[in-house]
Amino acid sequence: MELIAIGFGAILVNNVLLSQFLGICSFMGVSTKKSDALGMSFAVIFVLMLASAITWVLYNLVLIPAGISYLYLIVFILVIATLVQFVEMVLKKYIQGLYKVLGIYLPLITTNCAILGVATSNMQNGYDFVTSMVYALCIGIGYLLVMYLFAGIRERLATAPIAKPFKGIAIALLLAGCMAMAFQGFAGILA
Amino acid sequence: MDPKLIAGIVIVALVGLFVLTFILNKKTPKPEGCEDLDAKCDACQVTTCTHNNPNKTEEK
Repeated sequence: MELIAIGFGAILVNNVLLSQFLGICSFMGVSTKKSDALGMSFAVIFVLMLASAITWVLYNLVLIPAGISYLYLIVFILVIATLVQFVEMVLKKYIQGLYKVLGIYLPLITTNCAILGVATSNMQNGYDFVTSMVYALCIGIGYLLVMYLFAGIRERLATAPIAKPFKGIAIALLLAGCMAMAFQGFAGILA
Repeated sequence: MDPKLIAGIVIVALVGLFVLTFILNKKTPKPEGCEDLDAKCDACQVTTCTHNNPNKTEEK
């Protein structure tokens, strides 16, 4: 039940984009087309799961026993940057079909603070390994859900008659605010 | 072992690993048909960012 509550909260109530305001750069930048939003979201889920697993192991089995847990931030940043380079290299070399789908979004993930935010949340909440993985997966699903919905609405907005001052990012920010308020309606549903 | 020494080793190892994967990634050729693939970001006005789209246009 606890895992379900954590997962449900991560997808809808504490959504990484609309509630925690992490990964806003890609939320605005790669959400003009549904296909781009889907590609970016799958790449984020892929890296999020890997990064959460590696940072959990490093934090709990290296940093804490060695008494250097204060280094977690710089270690997590380096791990995520290295992981993205490594994943991109493996995809280019061995899984070229997947590289064609996800590859172009991988460099954008290096600067996606949602990945670092989830690794830090896992640490601060004291989650065990399984809970960390469930939390990371559900954060990724929440990211995918909001990105896809947002991109769908933005595709329609591109052809809608909008007043000139609101065109582009302005109407996108207003839309994001409306979506954030709508998603807050899920709060307390499992309480 | 002194925690400061362990901290130094961990940081140097991670930085070294990053530099190594960065160089190897740059040297790995892109698959056929992917040479020109590039995702550009339209989110902000920071033109010095490597992801910034120089041909950015407002939505019509």
